This record gives sequence, C-alpha cells and structure tokens, in this order.
Amino acid sequence: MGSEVLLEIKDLAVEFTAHQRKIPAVRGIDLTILPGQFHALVGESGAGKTVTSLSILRLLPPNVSNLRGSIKFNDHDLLQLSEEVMRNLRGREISMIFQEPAKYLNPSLKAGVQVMEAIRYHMGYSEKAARERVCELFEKVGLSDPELAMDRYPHEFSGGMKQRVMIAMAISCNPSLLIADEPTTSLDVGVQRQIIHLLLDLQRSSNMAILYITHDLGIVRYAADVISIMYAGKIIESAPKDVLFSSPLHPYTRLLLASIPSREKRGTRLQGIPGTVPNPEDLPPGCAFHPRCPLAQQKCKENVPPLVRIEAGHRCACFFPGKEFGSLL
Amino acid sequence: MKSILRVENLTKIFPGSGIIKRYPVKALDNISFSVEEGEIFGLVGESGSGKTTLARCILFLDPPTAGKVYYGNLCLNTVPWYQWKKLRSRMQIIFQDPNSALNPRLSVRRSLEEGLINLGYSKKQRNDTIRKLLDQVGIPYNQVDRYPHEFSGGQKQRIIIARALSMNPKFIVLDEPVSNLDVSIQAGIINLLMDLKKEFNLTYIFISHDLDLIAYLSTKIGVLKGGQLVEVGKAEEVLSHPLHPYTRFLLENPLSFHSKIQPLKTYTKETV
Ligand SMILES: Nc1ncnc2c1ncn2[C@@H]1O[C@H](COP(=O)(O)OP(=O)(O)OP(=O)(O)O)[C@@H](O)[C@H]1O
Ligand SMILES: Nc1ncnc2c1ncn2[C@@H]1O[C@H](COP(=O)(O)OP(=O)(O)O)[C@@H](O)[C@H]1O
Ligand code: SF4
Ligand SMILES: [Mg+2]
Ligand SMILES: [Mg+2]
Repeated sequence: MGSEVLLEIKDLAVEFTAHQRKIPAVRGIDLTILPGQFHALVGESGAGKTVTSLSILRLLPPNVSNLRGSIKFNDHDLLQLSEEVMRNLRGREISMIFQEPAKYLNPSLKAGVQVMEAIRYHMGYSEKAARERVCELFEKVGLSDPELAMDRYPHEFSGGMKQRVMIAMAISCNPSLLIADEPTTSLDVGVQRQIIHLLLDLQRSSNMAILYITHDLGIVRYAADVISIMYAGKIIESAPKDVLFSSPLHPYTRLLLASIPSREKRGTRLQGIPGTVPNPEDLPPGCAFHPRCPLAQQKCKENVPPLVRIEAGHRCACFFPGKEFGSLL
Repeated sequence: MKSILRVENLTKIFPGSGIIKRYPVKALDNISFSVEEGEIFGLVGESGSGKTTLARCILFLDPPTAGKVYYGNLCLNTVPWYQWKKLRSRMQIIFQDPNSALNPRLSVRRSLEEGLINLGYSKKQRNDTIRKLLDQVGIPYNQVDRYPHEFSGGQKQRIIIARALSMNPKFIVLDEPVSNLDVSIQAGIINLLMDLKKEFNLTYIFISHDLDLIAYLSTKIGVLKGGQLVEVGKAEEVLSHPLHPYTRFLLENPLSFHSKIQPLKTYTKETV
C-alpha cells in the first residue's frame, strides 16, 4: 500500500441550474486521498463541500446542468461507471454518514434490521450470519448491550447513539473510504469526542480512509492527517495538518485561523474578515476572495489563481502566498 | 458596581403535555446569580441545558414557575402589564437565528421604523436615527429600502442589532448571536457587539455553547448543566480555578481549537 492512491479527483466541476440561473457550486477541484488517510475538507456553508461528497457517491440532485472532471477510485472513474456497478460500490467500498442521522434511518424499522439489510444486500450473508455481524458492529461502535439496541427503533436512541447506528451501518462492509459530512455538528462536546475517537479507531484498525467534512477547525486540528480548505467552489489551500496550522499561506486561511476567539485573546480585538461569503450565483471575477482580501491587486481581479504546489504536499491558490499583510490591516 | 439584574432561586417547570414530553420537565432548577452594570455575563451550556429557557424567563417572555427576577431595584414578578412596554425597550433580546427575527415583508427601513414610531419620533428624527444606526452596525444606508432576503445572515444579524439598539436599551440578552453565522463572519459581529457595549455602556448576558467564545469575552461566567447553574464566578477565576468537574471537563475539551492537549495525530511522512 503506502503511497498508492485511493481516490483522485481531477478538475471536478458541478453546475446546477435553478430558476433559469446557473449555479457553479464546485469549480474545478483536485483532491487526492491515500488509503487509511484522514482527509479533512474544511469550508464555510455554501463552499461546495456537500456537493463534492455527493459527486463521489454519484448522488447529486437531478438539476445538475454541467458535470466535468474525473473521480478515480482504485483506478475506475466513478463518473463513468454504470448505475448498477455504482450501487454495488456505494455502502460497500465507499460509504457515508451525515449530520442528521435521523433523516437517513427508517423510523419504522428496528435499528438491527436496517443494518442487517445493508449487510445482506452487499455481502449475501444469511440472516443468522448478518445478525451476528450486526451484534459485533454495534459492540464495536460502542452501543452498550448490542442485543437490546438491535431491537430498538431509531427514535428510542439519543442523537449520539443514532450516529453510532449510522456508523455501524456505514462500516458494515469494511469500506475503504468513509465520507463523513459534518457528523458531529449537532452533538454535545462529550459525544463529539466519543464519535471522533470511534472514527479514529476504525481508521487505524481497518486502514479505512476518511473524508471528513466540517467547518470546525478544532476537530480538524485534533484528528486530521491532511486538510483541504474550500472557498467559493474551489480548494484554495491543502497541506498536512501541522504544516497548515504552523505555516498557512493563503490569506483566507490565515485570517480564518486568526479569527477564532480564545481565552488568550481576552481584551484584544478579534481579527475577522471583512465582507461576506460570496453567493455562487454571482461570484466576483478573478480570485473569488479578492473583495475581502487585504493583499488584493489588480491582477487578482482579472485572473484566477491556480492551485499550485509550493512544497511537498502543500498547495495554495494565491498570487501572493504567504506575503506579509504588513500595515494593510 | 451596581447590580442591574438579579435572579433569585429561579425554577422553570414545563408541565408534561403532548406526546413528546410526557412528564413535566424541570428546565431550570433553583438558579441564582447577579449581573453588575457594564458586565458581560457569559452563560455556557450544552444543547438542552436550559440557556434559552433562562433567557426567556429573565425577560418574562415565559413566566418562571418559582423565583424572583430584579431589574435594578424593581421586582419584575410584580410589574403591572402596562409598564412592560417601556421596560421591554430597556431590556432587549437577540436570538440565534437571524432569519426568523425579521419580518420578510418589511424593508429594513420599515423594520427599524416600527419601534421608533412607538417611541413617538417624528419622520425626520426617524430618518436621522436610522441612518446613524445603520452606520453604527456597518450596513450602507443606500440599502435601507431592501428586504431581508437580499442580505446575508451576518448582515441580517447586524440589522437586528440595529433594531435592538434603536430602543436605547441598557441591557441586552444575546442568545447564541453568532452560532448560525459562518466562522469568517462571527468575529466581525463580536467586534461590533464589543464596540457598541463600550459606546452605549451596555450590559450583556451572552449565551453560547462555545466555551472558547465565552472565555474570550465574559467578565463573569455561569455554567449551566441540566437546568442547574453548576458554577458561577468572575471569568478569570472560573477559567483558572474551575470548581465543578463539569467546568473542568469543558475547559479540557481536546476538540477545542485552542486545546493544549496534544492533538491525537501528528504529521508523519507516511500520512501524506
Ligand atoms: N415549551 C417547552 N415545553 C416543554 N419543554 C421545553 C419547552 N422549552 C424547552 N423545553 C425543555 O427545556 C429544556 C431546556 O431547553 P432550552 O431550549 O432552554 O435549552 P438550550 O440550552 O437553549 O438548548 P440549545 O443549545 O439547543 O438552544 C430542554 O429539555 C427542552 O426540551
Ligand atoms: N440541487 C441544487 N440546486 C441548486 N443549487 C444547489 C443545489 N445543491 C447545492 N446547491 C448550491 O451549491 C452551493 C454549494 O452547496 P453545498 O455543497 O451544499 O455547500 P456546503 O459546503 O455547505 O456543503 C450552494 O450555494 C448551494 O446553494
Ligand atoms: S490571489 Fe490575490 S485576492 Fe486572491 S487571495 Fe491571493 S492575494 Fe488575495
Ligand atoms: Mg453541507
Ligand atoms: Mg437555545
């Protein structure tokens, strides 16, 4: 294994059409995930994170008007596979957990039955074997008394327990990639911690790669191997965690990190970023960050900065990476 | 320092009714604290701990089941209904979701004007005040005739803050005022709230589930857990010598961005 690539997204672009308007939600992104890697995709709401993950699973809504690029998974381009092959891959090779597990669990089916169905569909297990497997999975995700949990309905679980059931279902067929779209956003601190630890355990024990989508930089700092930052449909910076936090290069990343309040900043003014996150329907020309950027020059208003390699593993899309803000702020 | 708000043995019980909550819920259990003039009382707690219920009970938007609330020397439990209108303008509240707080059919001007008409302002006074308020919260005056859907979440929250300010309040309860906003926008709103506090000598109760934020801005901190105020004290004290295990648990959250706890994984060549 080692340096082999698990998932390679190249120049992925997704455009929707709604009310006769074009919405370029994802605008040409490159992203590579290695086997067993915890890759965090970070961005504010509307940046295109969910659209990216739905593209990988080929679960995009029907109003896509333009889809470009390739998504290679173990050397197959997911965008070219037939729906039938894709259906076998989903839940088996690549699976997903979401922010609101309640929405994806069938309220009228017992938790155990739902997970059993997934296993039987993909692995062709007998009822008895599937039952044993579910029991084992529930134990693994930390549902105490798995036998009892199997016979419960989703509404009888707390938010954290529902997320555990979702995780059990997602890992039931030993996927090599788990996509987690803000799975802990609505959970309490303690439960968040448990879920992150559970995911890290699974990642390590079965060499499962995780694409973790979030806007929470605390979780990312704790758990990620590699971080990609998304802004207005593009990846603007990508680096190993420690590199990104110790030497961020893109002005957006740098300002974002400086904006987080803390006890140490008591009595000082927070950094903040002027302006607002742009709407994909009317993006500024050139670098989409230029109206908010203290370093913006004429060049930035006219040209789109490409995502270029600065050093091994560190890429940044800015004409002036790492330039001092100086007296500009 | 003079106490501006005092809460004594406040309890709130929601009667058990309906299908979801079959049993009575004790949302607040015997809460006492006081807020001095000019302070920022930071109230931190997890979802369901009773933060919003406490905010609503303090302002009698929902009457407490037991206990007393004093605003200065005035006991709010005994205020007759006809005095509430004036009092409400002095004590404002701002909620988490900027989308539901503005009437979608009213332009910014109309939203801000309503309260000013109630205060008896003339047309000219209203226009001047609105211009000044928008300037203070950083919304260009030429957008005054736009409607809420034409603004981003952060801009809406600024308009809501302007509307609260238009009543010349002394005291504002902020219930998760930035939780629905993008990280890059939050700092701007927090800076704005800090500036306004200084300029108008305001007192805040600032509610959040985010201890880093509470630790950044509070002068006094209260920790709510399951309807009980498990810790309350001066911010520096609570942060450096937390007494309750739950406060310590929150302060030691490894998932906090500023956690001193070593992140679980560090970069090795193989992981990239
Ligand atoms: N109108 C109501 N009827 C019955 N129970 C209620 C009502 N309002 C709140 N509760 C209950 O009171 C408790 C405290 O709720 P509250 O909304 O104050 O929590 P909170 O700390 O503001 O949470 P969040 O962080 O999710 O906003 C919860 O158990 C809640 O379910
Ligand atoms: N089916 C759709 N039709 C039109 N626009 C969409 C659709 N799905 C997503 N979008 C838009 O694409 C952009 C990116 O969305 P999304 O990927 O969900 O963002 P996030 O980073 O918050 O997950 C947003 O502006 C969103 O409104
Ligand atoms: S390209 Fe220009 S506008 Fe964009 S982030 Fe870099 S300096 Fe700022
Ligand atoms: Mg999303
Ligand atoms: Mg609340």
